Amino acid sequence: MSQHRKANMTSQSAIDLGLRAGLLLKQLFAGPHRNKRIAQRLMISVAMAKQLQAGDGWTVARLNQAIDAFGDEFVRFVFQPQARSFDLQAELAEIRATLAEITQRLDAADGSTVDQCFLVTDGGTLHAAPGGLSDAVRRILGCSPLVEADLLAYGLSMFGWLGIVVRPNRSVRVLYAEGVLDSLAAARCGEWIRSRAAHLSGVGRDVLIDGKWVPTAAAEPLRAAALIESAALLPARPSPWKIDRLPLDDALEYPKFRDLLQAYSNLPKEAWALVDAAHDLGVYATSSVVEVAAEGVISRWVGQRLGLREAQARIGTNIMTRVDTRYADMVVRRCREARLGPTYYELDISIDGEPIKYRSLALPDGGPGATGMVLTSSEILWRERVGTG
Amino acid sequence: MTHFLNAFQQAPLLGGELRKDVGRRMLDLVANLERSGLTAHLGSSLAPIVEIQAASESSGGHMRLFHLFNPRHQRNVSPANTIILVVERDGIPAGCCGARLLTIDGTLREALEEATILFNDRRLMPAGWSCRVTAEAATRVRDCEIAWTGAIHVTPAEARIERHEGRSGMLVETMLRLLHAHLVAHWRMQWLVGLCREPVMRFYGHTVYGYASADRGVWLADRGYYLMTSSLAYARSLYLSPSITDISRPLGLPNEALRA
Repeated sequence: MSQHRKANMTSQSAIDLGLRAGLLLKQLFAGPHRNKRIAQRLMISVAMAKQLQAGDGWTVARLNQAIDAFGDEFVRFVFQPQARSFDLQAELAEIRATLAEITQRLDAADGSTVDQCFLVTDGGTLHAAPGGLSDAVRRILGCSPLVEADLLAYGLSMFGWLGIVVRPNRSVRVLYAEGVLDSLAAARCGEWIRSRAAHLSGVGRDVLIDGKWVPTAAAEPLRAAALIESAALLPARPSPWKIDRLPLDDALEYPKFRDLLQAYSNLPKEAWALVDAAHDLGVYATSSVVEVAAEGVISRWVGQRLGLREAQARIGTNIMTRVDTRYADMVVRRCREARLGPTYYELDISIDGEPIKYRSLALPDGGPGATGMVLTSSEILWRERVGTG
Repeated sequence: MTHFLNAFQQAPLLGGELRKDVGRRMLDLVANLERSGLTAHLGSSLAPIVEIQAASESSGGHMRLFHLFNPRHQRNVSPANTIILVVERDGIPAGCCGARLLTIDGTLREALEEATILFNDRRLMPAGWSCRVTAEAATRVRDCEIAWTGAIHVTPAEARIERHEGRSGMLVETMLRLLHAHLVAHWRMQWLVGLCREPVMRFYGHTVYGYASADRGVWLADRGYYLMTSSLAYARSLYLSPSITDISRPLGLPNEALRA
């Protein structure tokens, strides 16, 4: 076998190595047109550049190519992850965090009711925060108590840091700011969650969006770890969202909306009647159905022609476990509003970082009420696919 | 009003490492203020400026309220087009400055002479008001968004404290750096613009306010002013730079290496 022949690596360490290599590419090529810039630098296709960032396709030959291109920095980051420990302060912070965790666990065994807090800074260093997250941010930034600002929000928003709060009942809340989460901090948090997955009951996120905390639904730990790492890859919101509620009469210009409104008016207000009618009218492929319940809004159907990524995987999940929290929060609010009566909107927004403009008619199935199904039918006016090369 | 850092943290026009670097610089500037007993707040109402002006006039100070910051002449003030920075000592205003985001259709010269930006409605224009513009920059700035900075004032009481503590000018220098850094991090605009009289231009225009150019030639009711301008690129390179935290260092000077 030629030494230059592609050799795919399959062991766990090789997978870790690929992930670290992908992570470093994201760090080195932060900003717009990342795929193209990586492709140019490594003289590969854009598709391969995307694959490499995801940690796939790292053959021995590809690693050699990257070492040639990026030199010692690549070797240190990918092959010597412990190299971070050369930073004595970071190493000490990690040891303190581990000790704090052990102490708190012992306290918990004694019936302690204290939250356990950790702060992950932008290098991916985990710091114990026995005095709470705000206190830890203040300490790490070297800020005097005189500064009256909300330094937790500032630390998460400006530096991409991430907070972890472990409740006495073993549930976890992870706090970060939308669009700025540092990928190394997210990766460290993901690693922390995975290593304790068996001991955690569920992981929810609190996402800082436009200065407000938006809580997400708790997810199973391994899924939450993946969500947090994915959140670090979401691009910053490209432009301000524009969401306009339009008169219902405006919907009549589209035949499918007209048919749906007619069906809504004529049908008996019984559960599933509208959903069945949408199916019969042939608009199911561009519609979605959610169940609005007291505990959350659950996706029940996503039309294949809506073009949403991982559409089928979304069915049956709480919408507030989606990685794009701003979009999820908007959908939930709109669905709850539509349970009270039909709504018609024009939305110029982004979904998972992809700009899209569409009109959307939302109708309550089975008549108005706080809980029940909502059928949403959409007409996409414009969309931009990001990262498809 | 919101604490400056809480308002700054959105910073949609800063990305990557620059965001982190600027985050630390703003923290340094704010911490420096707070060590002197001052707290910076941001808001979008013109009311605090009117109050500061009234209080200042009654205590022997002098503060002109330019049309763009006078609520009697402005009816479209909103968070999207107005930022007011107020610095307080023990809850009492010590200084202020502000900025308005304006859309210029045609040239800035036309917008000023025709009073389309200084008054929301021509009926709000005082009798006999006139504006003549010969400044060359006013024809260069055209069909774009500009941030107009003004309402810069330090109260007489705070000026006395500064003199007593041997740090005269610190507040106005810090306020302008905070405000302009906030503008380039938040507003999509192409120019920073301001008007000032000649003595102010000489002492403050470049080294304290940080404007790149000063053009003589704006006459408002027969009083001559200088039109101060900075392109967005210049403003970003200045107000987001590491040297911004060194208040003892005047703005707009070449770096050490260049001077050597």
